[in-house]
Amino acid sequence: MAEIKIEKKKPVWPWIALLLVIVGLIYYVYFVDHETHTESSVEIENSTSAQ
Amino acid sequence: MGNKDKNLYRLDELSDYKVASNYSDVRGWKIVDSDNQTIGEIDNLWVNKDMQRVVYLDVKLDKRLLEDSRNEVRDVIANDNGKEFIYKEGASHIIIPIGSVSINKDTKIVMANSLGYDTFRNTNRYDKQLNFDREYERKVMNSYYPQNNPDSVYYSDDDSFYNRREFDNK
Repeated sequence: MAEIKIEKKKPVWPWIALLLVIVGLIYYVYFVDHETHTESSVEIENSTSAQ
Repeated sequence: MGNKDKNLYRLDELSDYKVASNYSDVRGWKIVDSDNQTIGEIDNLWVNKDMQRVVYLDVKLDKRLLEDSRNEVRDVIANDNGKEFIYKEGASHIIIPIGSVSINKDTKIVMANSLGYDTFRNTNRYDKQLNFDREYERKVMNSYYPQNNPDSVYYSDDDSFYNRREFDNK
């Protein structure tokens, strides 16, 4: 005697949201944060040459 | 009474449902009778949404079985014995209650336990494009299990129709 049950598919949107958060973090770490560091270095160099 | 009123759907229609883990999705598998003769291929699963389980296998009948039936109808016409015709041209699907079969996961073959080739050949069919009603379900059950007492739940219009061994509802 066979039996086959069915179930609701698990929603995909939490995984998509998680993926977007990870992509956002990677973007922040490699681009936004990196640009801030570069600008700081340039300012230090400029102030040294003015003296 | 339409199929939707009975919470009966083809699994394909329910995009947010799937066969549960640890159960076999037998769509596309071959189905054979108790003597290992090919009956057809499982085309779809009829599920009861409230009960969260499959109640019927939707079987597309094998060409040989359909041809055998046509030959039988030709004989009936030739003999003119007044027997009621059991199928309409174009109707090539039957339903089989889930509790009437065994599933072999290794060979991917479904076997009808106690139902023979002639029973399937003589069972009323329905057209895939059209839905079937409770009356059709009763005819099919009477064809498979003529020994059962028709006074029982066969006459219920609600889900209690499926509360019997043939639907594996122990």
